[in-house]
Amino acid sequence: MRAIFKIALGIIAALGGFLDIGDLVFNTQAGALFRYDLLWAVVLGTAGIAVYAEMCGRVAAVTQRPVFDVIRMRLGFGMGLVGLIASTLVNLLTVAAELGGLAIILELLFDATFSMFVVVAAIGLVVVVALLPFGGIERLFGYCGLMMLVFIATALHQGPDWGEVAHGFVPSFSGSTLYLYFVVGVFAAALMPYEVHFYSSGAIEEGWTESSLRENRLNAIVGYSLGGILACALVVSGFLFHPVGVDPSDLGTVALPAQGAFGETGLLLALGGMMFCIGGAAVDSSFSASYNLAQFLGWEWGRYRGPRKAPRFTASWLVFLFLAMLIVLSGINPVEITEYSVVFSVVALPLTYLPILMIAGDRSFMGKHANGRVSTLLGWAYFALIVVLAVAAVPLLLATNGGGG
Amino acid sequence: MRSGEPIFIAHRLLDEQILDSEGRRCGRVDDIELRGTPPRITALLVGVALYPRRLPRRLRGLARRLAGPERWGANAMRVPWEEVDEVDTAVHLRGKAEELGLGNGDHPENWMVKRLPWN
Amino acid sequence: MELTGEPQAFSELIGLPVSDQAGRSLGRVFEARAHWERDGSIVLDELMVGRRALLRRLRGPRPDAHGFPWESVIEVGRDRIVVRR
Repeated sequence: MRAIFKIALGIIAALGGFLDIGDLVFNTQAGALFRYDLLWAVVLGTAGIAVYAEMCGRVAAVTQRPVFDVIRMRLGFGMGLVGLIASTLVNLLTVAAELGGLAIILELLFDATFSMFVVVAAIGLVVVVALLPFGGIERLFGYCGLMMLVFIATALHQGPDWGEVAHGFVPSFSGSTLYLYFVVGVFAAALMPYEVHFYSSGAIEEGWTESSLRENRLNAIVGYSLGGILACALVVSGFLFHPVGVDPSDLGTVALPAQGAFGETGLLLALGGMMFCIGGAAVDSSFSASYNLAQFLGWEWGRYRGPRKAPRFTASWLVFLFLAMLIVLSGINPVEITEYSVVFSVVALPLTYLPILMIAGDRSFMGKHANGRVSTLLGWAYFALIVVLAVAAVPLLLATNGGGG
Repeated sequence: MRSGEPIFIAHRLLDEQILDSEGRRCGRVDDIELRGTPPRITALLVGVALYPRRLPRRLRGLARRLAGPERWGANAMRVPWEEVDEVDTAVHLRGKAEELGLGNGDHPENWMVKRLPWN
Repeated sequence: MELTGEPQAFSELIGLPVSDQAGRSLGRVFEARAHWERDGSIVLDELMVGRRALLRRLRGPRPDAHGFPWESVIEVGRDRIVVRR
């Protein structure tokens, strides 16, 4: 009974922590520009992260190897280093985007300058991480992120044409370059590698072993699928802007539908939910950068070791947070930073995905827990898809002038 | 690890995580020392100074300038093979990291570690 | 650099091009097959040679894969290895 409860809590935390600023930006814009026509891409991306996360979690639980251990073992030092550099740069952009998003929301809730809030947000994150153990950090952001459920309530309240919504789940190709750019963007925002790398190291922080495999499967599959519903709700509420003509690339407008449906309470729930989602993502992406560096080089790592036993890991985390802060303070629009972080994430994705896929299928490492037929098929199908998107991403970014059309 | 059992060096030993007798992570197998004919593994080599060896020839010059020369006992450590207890999902050592000069970067007595704000 | 009692680094073996006595190129060293001895030491048995090293490194060698036994190695030079086919 306790086991079920624990698993349920894990799923809830996964749901609450599923969205980040990439989803908020891309999904609401996708809805505004293309109505429900990109819902299929959201589902595809959600299923993708479930597949990737389940494999990473399984590898971590069975072999105690997190992602960048696998990458160094499989790609060797040279190619592994390429993966590390690419991952670190993308992670830095992502942390910057999340910090920027946090600052924007704080600006909407309170009264001070944007730069001030960037610093406040960074300091706030350091305080939270310093005070809470790993599990506590995940639960705090995960449970409070559940406020995002107000977006599902809003979508239901607005009573969209469900027939049209259903149509959106069937892949269609409008053929416009901007549409294709958003296919990549929406998919990539759902399948951000930092989230999976964090999940893999988190499995070891939480002490997962072979007995945790069911929990891993349920977290990844059920938790992320429910998260996908939230992601779809963003698309639906994004469309509801279309007639109003408001530019949803301004983060504040993302919360407006909730206000329209439920007044002040709705607005506060939406903004609060966004704050915890984005805050959690800032922690996950910055931790991811440190995990990757420490694991690749063989340093001691982990929140569970504490700053005294893992000093280099901890120091690198602070440095990454600081560098990300500098990026936001440089004045680039956080929404633009978000778009770059999402697009470059998918470009770097094949390099970190393939070694995991190979080790997940390697019986000499995984024993009886190696990929079965379904996992192998899904794993390779997604790899092919990821490669196609990785190749198309930058050309589409340039062709659409960063989604500007 | 039974007698006669095969092991593929690049696949299972090179680049593997090293854990000391207390389970502390203290570096990775950056290179391996061999002696004799047929070659026998005599030591594991660990350290930043070994990275240039692992890169393609063209990048070695730049990498060497960044990593510095190989200073054995400082940025390159030799771990005699007798110190290895077991190799499974990591390389497990018989002794403690500090006795072997490994994991210095995380050691509390390290001058940089002492200067960190929480120490 | 003949193999005498002098230590050699594994990183110097990996990636070395391999040819037979006639000079025909056989690929590059991408792996070494070794075995555990009773006293806990590891002794190299064979050099795995082939093309497309990165792909092989990713996939990992099959458990029953074999290469050139050490006895067939004629010369280990600074930038190449010669084996007796």
